[in-house]
Amino acid sequence: MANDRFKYKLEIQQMMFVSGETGEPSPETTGIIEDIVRGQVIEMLIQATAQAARRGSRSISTDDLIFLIRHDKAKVSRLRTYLSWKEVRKTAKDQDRDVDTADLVEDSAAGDALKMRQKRAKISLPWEVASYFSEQPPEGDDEDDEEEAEANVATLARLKSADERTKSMTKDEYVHFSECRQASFTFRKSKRFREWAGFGLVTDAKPNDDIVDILGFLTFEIVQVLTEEALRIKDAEDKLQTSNKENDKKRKRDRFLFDGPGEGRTPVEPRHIEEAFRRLQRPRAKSKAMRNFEGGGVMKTRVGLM
Amino acid sequence: MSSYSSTNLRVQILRDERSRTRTNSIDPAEAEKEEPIDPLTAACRARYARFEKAIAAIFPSRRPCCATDLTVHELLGIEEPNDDDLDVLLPNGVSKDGEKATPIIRARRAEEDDDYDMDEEEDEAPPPPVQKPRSPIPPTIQISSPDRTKSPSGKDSATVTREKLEADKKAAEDAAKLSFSTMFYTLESDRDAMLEQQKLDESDRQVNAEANAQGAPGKLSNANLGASSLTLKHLIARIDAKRERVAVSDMELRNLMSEVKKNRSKWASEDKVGQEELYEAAEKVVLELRAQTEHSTAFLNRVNKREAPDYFNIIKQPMDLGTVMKKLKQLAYKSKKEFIDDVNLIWQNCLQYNADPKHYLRKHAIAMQKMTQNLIPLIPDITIRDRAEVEAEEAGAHDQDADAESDDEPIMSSRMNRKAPGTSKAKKGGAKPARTESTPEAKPPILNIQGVPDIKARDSPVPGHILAETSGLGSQNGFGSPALAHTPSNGHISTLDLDPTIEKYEVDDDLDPEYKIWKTMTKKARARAASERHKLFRGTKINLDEPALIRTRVGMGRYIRSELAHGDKDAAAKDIKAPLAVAVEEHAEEEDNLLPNYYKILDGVPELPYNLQWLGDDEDEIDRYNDNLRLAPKGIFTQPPTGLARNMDSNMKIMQDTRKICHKIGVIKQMQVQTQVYNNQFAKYDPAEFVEREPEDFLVSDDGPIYSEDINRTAFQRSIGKIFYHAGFEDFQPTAFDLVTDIATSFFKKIGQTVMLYSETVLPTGRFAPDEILLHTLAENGLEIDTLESYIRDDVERLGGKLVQLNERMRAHLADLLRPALQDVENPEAAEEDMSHFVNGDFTDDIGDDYYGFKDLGLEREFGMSISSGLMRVLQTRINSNYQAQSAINPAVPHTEYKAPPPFEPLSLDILKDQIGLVHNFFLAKLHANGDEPLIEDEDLPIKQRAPKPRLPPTGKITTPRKRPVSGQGGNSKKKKRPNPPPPVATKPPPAGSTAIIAPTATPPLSEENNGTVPKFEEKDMDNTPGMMSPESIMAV
Repeated sequence: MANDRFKYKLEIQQMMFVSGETGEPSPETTGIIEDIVRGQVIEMLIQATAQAARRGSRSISTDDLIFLIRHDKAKVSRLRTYLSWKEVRKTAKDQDRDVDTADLVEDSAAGDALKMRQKRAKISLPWEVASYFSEQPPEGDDEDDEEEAEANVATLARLKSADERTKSMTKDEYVHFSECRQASFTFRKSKRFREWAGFGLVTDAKPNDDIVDILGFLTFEIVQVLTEEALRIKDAEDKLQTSNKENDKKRKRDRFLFDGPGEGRTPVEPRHIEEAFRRLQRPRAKSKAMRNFEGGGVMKTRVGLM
Repeated sequence: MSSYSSTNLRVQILRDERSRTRTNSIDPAEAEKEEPIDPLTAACRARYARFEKAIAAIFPSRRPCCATDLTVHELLGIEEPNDDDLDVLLPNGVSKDGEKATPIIRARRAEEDDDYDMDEEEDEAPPPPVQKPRSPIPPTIQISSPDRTKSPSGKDSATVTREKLEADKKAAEDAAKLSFSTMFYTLESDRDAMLEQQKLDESDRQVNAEANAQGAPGKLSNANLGASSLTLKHLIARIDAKRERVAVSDMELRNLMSEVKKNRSKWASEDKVGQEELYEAAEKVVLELRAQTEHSTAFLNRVNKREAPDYFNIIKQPMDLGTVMKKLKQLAYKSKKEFIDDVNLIWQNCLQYNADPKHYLRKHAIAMQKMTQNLIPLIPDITIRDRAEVEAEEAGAHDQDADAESDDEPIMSSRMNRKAPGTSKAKKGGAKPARTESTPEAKPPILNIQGVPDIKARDSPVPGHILAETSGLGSQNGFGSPALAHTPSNGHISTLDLDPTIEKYEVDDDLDPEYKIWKTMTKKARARAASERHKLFRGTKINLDEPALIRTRVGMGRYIRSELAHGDKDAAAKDIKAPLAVAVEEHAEEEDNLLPNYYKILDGVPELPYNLQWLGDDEDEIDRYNDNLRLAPKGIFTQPPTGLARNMDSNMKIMQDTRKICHKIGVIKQMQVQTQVYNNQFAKYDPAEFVEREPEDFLVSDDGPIYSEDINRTAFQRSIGKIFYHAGFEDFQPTAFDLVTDIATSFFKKIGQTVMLYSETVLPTGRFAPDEILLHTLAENGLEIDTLESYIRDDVERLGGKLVQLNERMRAHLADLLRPALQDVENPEAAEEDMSHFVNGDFTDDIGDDYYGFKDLGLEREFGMSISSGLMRVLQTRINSNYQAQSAINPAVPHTEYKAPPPFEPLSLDILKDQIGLVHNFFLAKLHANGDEPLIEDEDLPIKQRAPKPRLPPTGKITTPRKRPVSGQGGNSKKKKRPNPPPPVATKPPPAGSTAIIAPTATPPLSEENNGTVPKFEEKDMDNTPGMMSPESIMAV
């Protein structure tokens, strides 16, 4: 039953592993994560559809989706990089096909140049400065380096931590890790994802490829954020427990040579995930500000997007 | 109001209580007479005195004159109050029956040293009721001469009575005035007073109306104007002649005339002897009776049959005060008796009809009856007789008084007659024998002094005596209650059963006599005040149409005087304000100041301090050079040119600049696309720089924030609009604008409230520091320092950087677009080739003009292009770009490789003959429509005039051609850039199966031809006209 309902157990486990969870999470844990992720995806789709309707369109575009997370600059920046590289990859493939047929060797320089140009095809968002004006000048060379660099700080930090983790890995472990990094809700299982997220119900059944990709990217982020938060909670809890234990039984403190192996790291449990979700859902002061002095402290709110 | 210091503020209730105790416990008159005081009374008085002092101690006055020497503690220590300093204010002259109470209230000097300006009056008019009974007055008063001038020896008895009554009244007034300062009367009875007064006025009007209706405006000379009309007969004749132009009623005219003739009243008549005196007195009595609104209300008008259906069954002879007045005006009374009978009839009727002794009207009737008895002595006992008769008598008695009178003049004689009321029967007093009645004018009648009100009757004759006398003298004596005794027609009531009733009701009437006096005395004034007050309101709202309340000079003067009088008199005289008070003094005389000051609140309103006054000059311009009113400083509503605002301003400037460049680029692009350009096609785009405007000059009076919702909101909106523009909106809908303004307003309100809350909060450790307050406020309202900082950094500063970058790129782009024109011509041949087109083509003759509006665009200045060269170069640019585009699109096909086929000859009438006959008619029609000019090929037409090309759908069926929507320019330029454009899948999904048709079939012949004729334009058109873009359309043709 549970197996039928939850379709992404493995992927979620992998993602959690990438995010720092070393133990093997139980199916309950992955199930609850899957439910949360699904709720988030559906909420995103609903909001994006509403946004598109406001534009006068019936189908959502990538802009609608990115608009939902526009305040998270790091995420937007990563998304843009992701999309632009995706574009590059796609065109490169086309190019490859062409190039394959024509001239394999000689045109490498031209191919490079082409690639470079392709890379410039940046994803422009409608709320950026360029859209202030009616005319678009051709792309310049030096743009947004500063901002990008700043937005990439989070990404870099993440990469760095991953690097730290992988430093001490053996080759096999590293292979496993890199495999896990490729885990995705959508990659090569677009159909499954569409069914899972209820595309036909919430929005049009045949979304753009890019949208599915973006959602895949975002779902990974959600799992990662949840896991990290849950791990923090669990660490705090463990610390508390061990300190309590130490207070209770002082003897246990001393370890001896022939003691059995210490208790292994326990995996994240559903309650940690729930607590993490609760924390992430806590309404921000900003959204409450307009209700100051006006009462109505209890109100129905939407699910907050992570 | 400050003059009503503590001691004066007595609530009426307290008074009532005290007075009730007093009146109930003991008859005040007796109390005066009998030395041994009822112990209860004494106790009450003692208590009262204590209360008085206690009040004074509890509410200490700031004024030295009002300060008591008593403290509360002392007060509490008082056990046995001294009776001496009570000086209780018993109404001295209350009659036994309690009627016409005229108590004199003396200021309690022991307790309150208020020195009121009535003191003199009080002194010179000692309480008459006290004095009169004691000081013996000569029972008979001899009038030696009938002239109006008073004889030193005595007075006309009626005059005496009148004077005495007036003195009474005056005393009562004084008492009432005095009581203002010792009592606080509530205003609750004012409404009743007002209503009663209204009724009175109503009845007045009714009587007047009836009188006027009866006496239609007739000749004035016909009207009875009295004896001396002789002296004015010319005037009267004159008025009569112009009677219709005088817009006054006879009555009023008569009043006027009587005023003109000094001593003559309106009642004066030449033919009737004694009429003037009688009627004057009678009128006074009626008015007086009517003025007793407390009781008289029910008797003012005729009894309505609706109110009392059976009234006229019981009462055969209805009477009321209105009727009496009417009869007076109709001169229906011949004698005093008739008049008095009528008046008494009213009360009798009432008592008769309302037989139930508990009926409330009886009380009123009895009160009125008593009043009447008091007033009757005012009326001289006169029977009106015809002058002729009198003269005849005079003639008979001529020998007797020839020396005394000069009766040659009728007027004079009539005057004399008037002075000496022509009573046929001399009145007899109790003691003095009457003289003969033969000489009415010479020998004044001997009047009975006992005709004074019953106050006096108390210590003189018993009722029996009165009865005896009245019966002896008939109805015509001056006694108080003769009519009452002599009402044989109304046998139900006798004096005997009347008196107990009176007493009974008097006891019922439990009002404080002082209060009652006050009520009666001030009734009119209060009624007026109340009605004025009433006028100020409409419903429960203030009536806006009423004129504003304005202080009067007189009122203010009175107030100042009372203020001055309150303190020490000598000090007051030296006061600076004294002259002012004096200056006002004379005006104040005529004003009746019967009402206490709290009825005239306005008078007490103090002057505004000088620096708060708005002094206007003649045109009501406000003096703006006054210290306190000054122009608001500039810059309140504009942002300072520093900080964030400066950054935003510069950003906006850059935006505007970039927009201008964009506009130029757009124009140039459009010109490259279009074959024809119209002079007014491109609206000028030249946004003005943003300047924050100051509001118009306005005045402020202090340094605080300016509360002007409009201006503040507008200024706020301006800031919001700036932020909008800064965020990239060039314009915005007003509704959205308003909405954002509202939201922002409420948000800022919340911030303000939070700041208030934190700055008012007191912690155990003290208050919040300012920076703490700020941080807390930000946190409570969902803001963090980081957020604000990142806004400034990202959305202002970095945005500025981006904008500058974009601006540079935009400039470069523009320069790129114009470069071919700026450089030397690269493709001379192409240029030459198209010069011909330029020469014979679409361009009109106004070449010298600023055809493209380059001047407007500023290109000329910018790049140093002249207009004409600009024109050429732009064309070349277009050609150039066409070349480039062509080469970009078809790099493999150099356009010089084949020769273009000759163009088709334009179809004209000549050529038409050579064509096949089938098309003759068609083309003939076409030619005819064209004015027999040669037809132009569709391809040669300007783009706008071309018919859309028919497209064959993939099904092969020809349907009605439908227009494709013209897609934007931007899309085209994008497409142009793509090498080898794929079928635009995303934007225009082709119909199913269309891709199958795309095949390397033969090039459409049409395009071949076109390439031959005007290749560049064709190519361009193919590129840019959206209708031709999609591959299937090319296929179809």
